[in-house]
Amino acid sequence: MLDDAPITKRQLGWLMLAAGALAAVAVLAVDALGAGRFSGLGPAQWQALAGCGLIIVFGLSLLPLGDRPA
Amino acid sequence: MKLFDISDWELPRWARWASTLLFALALAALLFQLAVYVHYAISLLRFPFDYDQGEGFELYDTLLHTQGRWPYQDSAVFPFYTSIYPPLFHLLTAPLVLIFGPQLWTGRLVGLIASLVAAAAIAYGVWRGNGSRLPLLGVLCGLAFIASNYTFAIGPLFRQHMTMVMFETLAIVILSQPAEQKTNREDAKDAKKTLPKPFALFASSRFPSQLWIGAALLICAGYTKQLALATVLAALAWLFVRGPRRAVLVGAVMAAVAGGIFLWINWATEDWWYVSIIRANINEYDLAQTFGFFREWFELHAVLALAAIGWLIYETYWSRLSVYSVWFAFALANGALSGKFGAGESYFVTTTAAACVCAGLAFGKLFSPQRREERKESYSFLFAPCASSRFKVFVAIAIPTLFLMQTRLTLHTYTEGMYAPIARVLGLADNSGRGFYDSQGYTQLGPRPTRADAEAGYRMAALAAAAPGPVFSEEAALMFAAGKPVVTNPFVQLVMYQAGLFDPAEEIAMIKRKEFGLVILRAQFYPPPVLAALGANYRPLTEIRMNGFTYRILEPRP
Repeated sequence: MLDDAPITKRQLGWLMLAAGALAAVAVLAVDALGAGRFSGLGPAQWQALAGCGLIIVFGLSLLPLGDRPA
Repeated sequence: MKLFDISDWELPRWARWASTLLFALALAALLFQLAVYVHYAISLLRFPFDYDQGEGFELYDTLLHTQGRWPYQDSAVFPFYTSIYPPLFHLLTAPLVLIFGPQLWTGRLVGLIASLVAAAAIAYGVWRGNGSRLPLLGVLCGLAFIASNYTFAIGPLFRQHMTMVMFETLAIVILSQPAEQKTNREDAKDAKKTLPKPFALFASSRFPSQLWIGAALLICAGYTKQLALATVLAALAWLFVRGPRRAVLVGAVMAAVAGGIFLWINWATEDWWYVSIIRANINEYDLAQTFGFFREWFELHAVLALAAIGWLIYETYWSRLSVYSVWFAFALANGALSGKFGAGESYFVTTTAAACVCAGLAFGKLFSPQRREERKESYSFLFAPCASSRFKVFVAIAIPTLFLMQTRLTLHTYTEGMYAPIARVLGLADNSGRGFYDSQGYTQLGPRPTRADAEAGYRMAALAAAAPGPVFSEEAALMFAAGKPVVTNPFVQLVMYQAGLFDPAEEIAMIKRKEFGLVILRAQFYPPPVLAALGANYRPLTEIRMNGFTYRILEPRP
C-alpha cells in the first residue's frame, strides 16, 4: 500500500506492448463494427496502425532495460 | 547570478571568446524576433476589425458571457449561432469587455500576455531542469518559442489557443517540481511515520500543493480548448510512471472535477454544450494535410525538434523520463489531429513549447558536470568522449550556433520602414505581398494591418449600419461597429452541417424572404445550400479589400 513504486523500464515496455496491441485491435475493430467510411482500411486507419506499430516497437526496445526506474 | 557561467570548463581563450560572441549573436537575433512580435502585437491591438477569421465570434462569445448567457445553443434557429470552444478564455477576457465594451484588443491582449507567460515558463523550466544553472539557455529557449512562426502568427489574436498553451506549460513546469524534491520511496517512508497505514497513501508529502496546482492548471487548459487533452494525458502518464496509485487518485479527482463542470454546463445549456463542444468537433480527416503540417513543423523547427527527440531518447534509454519528455511525445503525437477539417498550424504550438524545454535540457546536459559521474556507469562508452576538452570546445561553439540556425529557420520580419535596412542586410524580400517576410512562405497572418485596412473596415460597417434589418456577415466585428446583432457563425455552421448537426432550413427561408438587409462574405465558409440561397437571392453591391482579403458585399435582388 505504502510503496507506490515507480514503474520500471521493463514494466513500461510491457505496458507499451499491451497498449499498442490493444489500440491496433481497436483500429481494426472499427471496420468490423461498420464505423469506417471506407471498405477495407481507410487512410486514417493505416496511420493509426502505423502509430500502434511504433508503440509496440518502442515497448519491445524497453524490455531489455530491466528494473531501472522508467 | 551570471547569465552564462562555464568558467569551470577551462576552455582555450579563443574558444571562450568565440562562444561568448556566438551566444551574444543568438541572443540578439532572438531579441530582434521578440521586437518584431511585440510590434506585430501592438499593430493588432490598434486594429478594430477581424484580422483572423473568427476573432469577432470569440468576442461575441465573451460578450454573451458578460451578459450571463451561454453561447452554446441551437444554431438552427435565429440568430443561427453557437460556439464550439470551451468558455475559460472568454471568461478571462470578460472583465476587460465589461469595462471597455466589445473591443477586439481585449482578447488580443490576453493572448499576447499568455504567449509571454508561456515563454517565461519555458525559460524557468529549462533553468530549473538544468539545476538552476545557465539561465541564458532558459532565456534562449523561451525566446525561441516566441520566435516560432506559429507562436508569432497566432499569439496576439483574439483566440483561445495561446491561453491553452500557457496553462499547459505552467501545469507541466509546476508538476515537474515535486519530482525534483523526493522519490516515491522517501515520500512513503515519511508517510509511514506520521499516518496510520490505511491513510498513508493520502499523506500530504505524497500530494504536495504543486501537484494539485498542476492538476488545476490542466483542467483550466482543457476548459480553454479541447486540444489540451493530450497534455492532460501526458501529465497523468508521467505521474503513472512515477507512482501508479497516486496517478490514479489524481486522475480520479481531476475526472470528477472536470466531469462535474461538464455535466453542469450541459444541464445549463440543455445539451447544446455536448453537441457544440464534442460532436461538432468530430470533422472530416485528411491524411495528406496531417503529413503536410508535420513536414512544415519539422522543417521550421528542425534544431528544436531534433534536440528534443534526442533528449527523449536519452531519457528513455539512459536516464529517467521527465514530465517534459513525456509531454513532448504526447504533443508530437497529438499533431496527428491536424488532419481534421479546419485544423491548422496552431495544433503544433504545444509541441513547439515542449520541444523548447526538452532542447534546453538537452543543451544543458551537454554543459553539465555530471557527465563525469556517468563515466562510471555501464553505458559509459557512449558518454566518455563527452568529457574531453575537444568536446567541450565543440559544445561551447555548437550550441549557440544551433540557436542561430534555429532562428534562421523561423525567421520572419517586416521588410519596409525601419525594417528595410535589416531586411536588405539579411537578403530578405517581401513574400506576402504586404511588406512581410516569413520563412514558411506566404502567410495570411503576420503582415501589419494598415490605416487603409481600418478605413475599409469602417466603410463596410457604415454599409451594414445603413442596411435595413439584420446583416448576414461572415465577420462579427463589423457588426459590433455597425451596431447590428451578430447573426450566424459561418465556420461552425459549416462543420456542423458536414457532421449532420445543423439544419439550414430556417436560415435559408430567411434568406429567401430577403430579411437580411446586407450580406458580407469573406472566405464563404458556409454550408453549400446556404451559399446557393445567397447567390439566388442577393446580388453583388461592391467589393472591398481589407487585410489582403476581398470582402464581397451583396444586397437583396429586386
